[in-house]
Amino acid sequence: MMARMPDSALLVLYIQLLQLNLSIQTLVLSAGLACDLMIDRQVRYQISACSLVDVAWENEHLVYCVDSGETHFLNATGAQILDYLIASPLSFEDLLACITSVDDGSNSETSAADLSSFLDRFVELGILVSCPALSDA
Amino acid sequence: MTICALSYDLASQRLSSTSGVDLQIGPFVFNLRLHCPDLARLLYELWRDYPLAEGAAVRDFHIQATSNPAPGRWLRRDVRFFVDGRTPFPLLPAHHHLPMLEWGLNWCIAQRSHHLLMLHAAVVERNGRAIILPAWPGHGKSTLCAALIHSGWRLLCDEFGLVRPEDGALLPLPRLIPLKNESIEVIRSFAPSAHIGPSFYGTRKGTIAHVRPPTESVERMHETARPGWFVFPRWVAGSPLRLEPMLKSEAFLMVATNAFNYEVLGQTSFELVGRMVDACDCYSLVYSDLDQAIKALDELTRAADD
Repeated sequence: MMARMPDSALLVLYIQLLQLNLSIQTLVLSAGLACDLMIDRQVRYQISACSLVDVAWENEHLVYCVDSGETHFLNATGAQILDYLIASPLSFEDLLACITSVDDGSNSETSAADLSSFLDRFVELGILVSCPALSDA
Repeated sequence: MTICALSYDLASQRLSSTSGVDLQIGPFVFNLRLHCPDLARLLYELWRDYPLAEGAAVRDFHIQATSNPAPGRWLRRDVRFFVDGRTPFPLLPAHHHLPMLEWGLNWCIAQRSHHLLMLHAAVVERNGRAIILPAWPGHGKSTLCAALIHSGWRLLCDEFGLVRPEDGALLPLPRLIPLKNESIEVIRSFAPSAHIGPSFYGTRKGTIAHVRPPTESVERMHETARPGWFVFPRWVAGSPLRLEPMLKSEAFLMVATNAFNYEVLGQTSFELVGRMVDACDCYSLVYSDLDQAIKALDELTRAADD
């Protein structure tokens, strides 16, 4: 029987392989975080200039950031978010809409909280950058 | 010419000379100088099949072990270990000379061999394909490896899975296998033909005894192997055998976090481990009975051979 990873709506397992200290951080976000959300809806997110290399099996993806030398482990949703952002910069709302359209069973509050944390973390890691939203006009 | 082709007196004399002896061990040439008669005798017995690398253009490591004369009736004899003239380790008790030498060689390889990806794994081969057994200390890697090489598998290495980045080939490094504590008697019982050296008591890892690599494994140490399977073993007392498929992403993470130099090689490691995991079937193995474990691995790999 195959070992299975937990299947929450947006589970990001983030692996940092540091020069001297290999550490594994698991980010499992709960619905309780939703009330603390600080989402800046005026920005768009896009892939930074860093080079990414990836491998994928089934629904799991590993992404290597050449600039930082870190390896990141994403589930299908995390990888999908990166794919959307590689295609074009998107706002938080656009990304949330993309995710919830793919995963009908997800709780929107939980998805928003998870997405917010994912974006914050990847901006912090230098993989994503936020930029001002385009004017509707 | 191998060490044992020399008489013991000549080998001992050359080991203690100022130029020492050049030995080919896997892809490395070690220049070895010993001023430690007890250790010379043991190496003559346990390293007997290594070829002399006379006239080697490059020596990868210059190793010297020197024991001081007994400083007095109540004082301990010590041995000092030199790598390229430097002493990276504190003085150690002379009666632990062989474990110290073996750990010292591990240290040299792990520190310097960054042209290769170094997995912390035992590797054995049959029909050109290898089982890679990455494991954390205490998980029964060496015991399983010693049992496999006395059950029809060729030893590539017990400690280092050396992977050549250019083509992903596994390079043999057939060294002594250090068995610890209860494992010594387990292997004596499992493989009575195994050549096991003396026990060293009270080392930092408990009692250690070394299994000599089979002569055939040393003679074939220039034959590389292709990765066939990743098996992550764990010995659990009294546990029934469980050999279960693993997700490749999980196997990737375990291989990467357990490698000696994954982060040093950066993108090369990422792509290399990715290709290896992609090419291999990945399993976790929990075992308590060696016979059962060997049988299960035999069936697993024979199915692929057929």
